[in-house]
Amino acid sequence: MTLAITIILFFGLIIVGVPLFFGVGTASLFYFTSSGFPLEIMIQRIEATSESFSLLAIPFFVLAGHLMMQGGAGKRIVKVSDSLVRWLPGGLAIVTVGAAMIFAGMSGSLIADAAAVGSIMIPGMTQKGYHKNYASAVVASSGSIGVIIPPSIPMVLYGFIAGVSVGELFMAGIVPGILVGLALMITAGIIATTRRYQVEKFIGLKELLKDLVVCFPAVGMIIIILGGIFGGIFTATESAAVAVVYGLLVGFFVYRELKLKDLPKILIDSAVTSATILVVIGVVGALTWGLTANLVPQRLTSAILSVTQNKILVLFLINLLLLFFGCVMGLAPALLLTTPLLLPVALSLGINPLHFGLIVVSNLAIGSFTPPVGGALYVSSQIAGISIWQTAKGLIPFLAANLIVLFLITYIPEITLLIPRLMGALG
Amino acid sequence: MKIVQKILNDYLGKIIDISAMVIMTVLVSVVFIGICFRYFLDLPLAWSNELSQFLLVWLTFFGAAAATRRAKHLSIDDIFNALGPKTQDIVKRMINALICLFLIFMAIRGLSMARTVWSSKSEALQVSNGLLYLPLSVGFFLMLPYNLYNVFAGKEWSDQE
Repeated sequence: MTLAITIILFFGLIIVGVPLFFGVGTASLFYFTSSGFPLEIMIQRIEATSESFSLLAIPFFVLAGHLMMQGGAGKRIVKVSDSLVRWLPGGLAIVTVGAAMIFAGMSGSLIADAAAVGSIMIPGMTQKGYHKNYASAVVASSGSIGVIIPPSIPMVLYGFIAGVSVGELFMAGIVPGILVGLALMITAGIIATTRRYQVEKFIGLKELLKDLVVCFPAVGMIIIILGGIFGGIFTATESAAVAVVYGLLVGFFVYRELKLKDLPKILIDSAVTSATILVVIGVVGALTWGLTANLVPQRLTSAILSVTQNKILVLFLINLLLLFFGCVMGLAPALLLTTPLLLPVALSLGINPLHFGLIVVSNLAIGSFTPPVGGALYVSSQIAGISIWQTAKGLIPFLAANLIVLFLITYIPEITLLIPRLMGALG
Repeated sequence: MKIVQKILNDYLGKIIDISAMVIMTVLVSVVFIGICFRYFLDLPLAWSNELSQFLLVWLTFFGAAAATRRAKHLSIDDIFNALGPKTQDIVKRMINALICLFLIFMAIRGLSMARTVWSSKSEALQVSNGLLYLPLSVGFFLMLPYNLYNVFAGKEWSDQE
């Protein structure tokens, strides 16, 4: 009964627009009081979640991404992807996906990626006669790769909740991320060919080499982050701190587009972005503690397993649930709320927690570009100057491609586990 | 109302923003120095890990206050946006009143929690563990004026930068 009221209270509050932090906070306050748990534990849980060393990676990744974008890395990455693949059918759309994949290695923020890539590529594509809803759909859907390809903030969150290594999650994200990227590129290419969009010429080897050199410092950040983590030199948090310093150096001294007077705004924006995630983690941590103390996750698990023990079916249901949550709320809150409840179910079916992490993130990533709350969808539609429903129409084939890859990720564990295994992470 | 707005925006707002910026800067520096000492000088610094954890808690709550001032907290606005202007006004006031109650209640409980653990010291830095609980209350008290303002002004506070 208490649980039912808590759930109603929570949804009732957030539906009318109460910020999640206060909505979850009020719901857990109610849950703690009515279950007779001491409130000191609630405060302690809010505090304990926010003093975790692994979560420090969040403000650092956000800051590093801001520095790189402000420092001029964005344009150069788009330029180099343009030189690489513009000669393919639907070239500019493929450039967009490619640039999003490289960006993914830096900012870890899906909306920032969509804004950075979209503001350059959407005008570029429409100029070449691509339809607006197609251009906008390409940008919106490619934004979702950012959270799958490492480094990724949602992976840091999942690693924190599930108690698995963020570095191993990053390894697990590589193949799925590339698969999503390829699927989107192929879809974009097929549509462009059937619509006979203008095909560009290859710019020549010399030009390409020049662009590669200019772009190298930007890509260097990804090499430092991933090389540092995978090589066992840094933890994810440390690599993020090094990335911040590297971003400062590149912005100030290599590209020279970062100005001292930009720094206060970058710092405060990063602090705000990270804090809005961190406070939600805190209150969700408190609520989860209360639910776990009352054995709610265990009861949910046995309820589901008493209906069916069929792994394929349970995974299918979990996917539906995650897609739903991803569609109705933002990625981070959806991840924080669903993982503590669904992870025990997955573990009891013998699913590897790394594999499950990729299932969760890939599902929720789809919600980031679908109506009604997809952040990337709003950003790209705004840049293209069309309504989100027009973009949504263009999105259908990309959504289909994404769902096929999601299906593969869900049912073929090797896609996620191959690289961690090769790197000796699975023991 | 003008004068309240000025205080919230120009004085309190600046204090919050500058604190968040300073914490962020120190946080990056501390972790980076810690890494340098460990890898280049082979001298692990016990205090750098601990200090960064303290600072993360402070960053969380000062950043949250800065987010309140900018109305940037994560929320689902679709249904709210579909309401008529009159209903929006009422709903906004009610939401903010609820948030105020939550903030006051939690801030007070947080203070008493900080007092309880105040005498215990952290391992490396030997500072009071109460400093881990204080930011929650400080942050909540800093958010309160903005939410209170919204209850009376009826529209979402938004920062005029």
